[in-house]
Amino acid sequence: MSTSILVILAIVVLLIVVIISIYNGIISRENAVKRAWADVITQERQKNKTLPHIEQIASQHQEFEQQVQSNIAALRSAMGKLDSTTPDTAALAAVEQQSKQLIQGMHIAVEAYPDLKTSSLFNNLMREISEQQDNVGAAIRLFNQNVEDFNNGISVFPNVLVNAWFLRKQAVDTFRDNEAEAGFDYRPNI
Amino acid sequence: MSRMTVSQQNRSLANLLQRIGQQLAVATRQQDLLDILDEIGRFGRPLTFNYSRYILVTIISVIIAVIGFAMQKSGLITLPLPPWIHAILPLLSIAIWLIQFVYRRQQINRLQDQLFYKNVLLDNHLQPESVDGKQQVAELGIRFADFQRGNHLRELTEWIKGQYNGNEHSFTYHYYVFHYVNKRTVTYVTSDGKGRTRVRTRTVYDHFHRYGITLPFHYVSRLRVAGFDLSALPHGYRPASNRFNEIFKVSAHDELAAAKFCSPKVVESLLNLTNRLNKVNLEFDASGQLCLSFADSDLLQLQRRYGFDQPALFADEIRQISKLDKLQSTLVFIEQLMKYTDNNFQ
Repeated sequence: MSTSILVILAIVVLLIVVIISIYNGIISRENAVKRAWADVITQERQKNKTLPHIEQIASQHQEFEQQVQSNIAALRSAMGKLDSTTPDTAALAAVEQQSKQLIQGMHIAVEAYPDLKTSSLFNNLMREISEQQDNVGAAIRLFNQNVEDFNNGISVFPNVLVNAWFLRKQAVDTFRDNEAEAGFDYRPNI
Repeated sequence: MSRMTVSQQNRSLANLLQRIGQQLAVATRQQDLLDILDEIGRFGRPLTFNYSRYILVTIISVIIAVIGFAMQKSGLITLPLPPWIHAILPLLSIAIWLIQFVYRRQQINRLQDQLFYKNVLLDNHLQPESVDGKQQVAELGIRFADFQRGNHLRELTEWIKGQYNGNEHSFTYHYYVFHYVNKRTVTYVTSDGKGRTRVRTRTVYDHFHRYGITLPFHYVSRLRVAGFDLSALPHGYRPASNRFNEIFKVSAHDELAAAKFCSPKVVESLLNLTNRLNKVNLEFDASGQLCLSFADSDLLQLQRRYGFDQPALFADEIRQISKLDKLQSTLVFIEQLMKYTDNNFQ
């Protein structure tokens, strides 16, 4: 076998190895996005743990109860629409919106019922809710990081060629807080 | 100035420095440090030694050497020695002068650094504790793998107790400096210049330092987060974050415990910590102790602006609160870890 054939063969083998490596990289980044999304949903569903406690407190304060119960129902309904397998940032935004309304309602209740401030159950509950919100926020940020890695992984050269030839994966949307965005006049031109 | 006066001047300065060293060793309050600076202010002259005698001796020895060299060269005297021998005396006197100069300068620098460091510790409620460094490492090494480094020497060079009071958690901790030495044998080849080579060996000692904080941590046990050369426990766990998995490896005796520990907020906090600290390891032992170790040596370091040459300004600097921001942010991170791993309903 002549040297030139050996060189061509080596280049072809190297090319195949590079393509396989890029292919696997895209798949593993996509799986990481799915897993990060599942984490976001898991954190959102953790809120279910605290809802019975909120209901218990609300039942002791009748006027407070009506408003909180409707907030809880709306939150449960929004959480029911979440799909842990497919990233759906719109459904997630709806859950976040309902969560904020519930927490706002709880804060208003503290003003209306000063005795709640001294309730250890209420204080523990507020701490738990706050930490859950922190965890949801962190899960979303980690999800967005993985989305960025994945989108980079299918956009940069030569990955873009491997994706177009063999995978045809679409870029994933990062989660955006539309309510927060509404407060800004600035929009990045990207 | 007479010779006697110069001698007295240097002696009184040497005595002052000795007194400062003794007072520093027993200083426990900021006022003790200010008293030292007050005494330096009252000393009435700069803390510099008078080297006129050394300079005089050097000049005389140079003159003697030049005359001797010239006489030997012109044949006025004959010595059974080479001409460069005349350089020995001036070189010797210059060397003695330089050694004295460097030693005394370092002594003053060391004292003002010590005074400033002591003040930093006092401002931040840090209390150095006297321990047997080797024995302490041996005890810590049973609980934490991060101390199982160094095949020649392992010792703690600093063991400092501190107290952190946070909004949700307060704790007592120890900051440490761990010094370890690796001994290895290196083989090398020498040549005699005539084509013959010889294989030789020599022993090399590599010195390393690790820094860290240990404290009681009751919410997690038997878990490791390794960012730098740390053995793993039986069950590994990978959180969802790509970036976290590039930096850290989480392992525990119980996979469920590892999954529970790696909440998104904890993962994010650890990622943020790597922006401030390098080569980070976390170990939670079976008895509920945490060892957070890293490669950064500057947690207790601040830049001193003034020294003994400006005692009034130095005293003003001492009166101000010296904040150790890097230490504080590390302690806030530990409080966050507690916050996100504790149980709010227990």
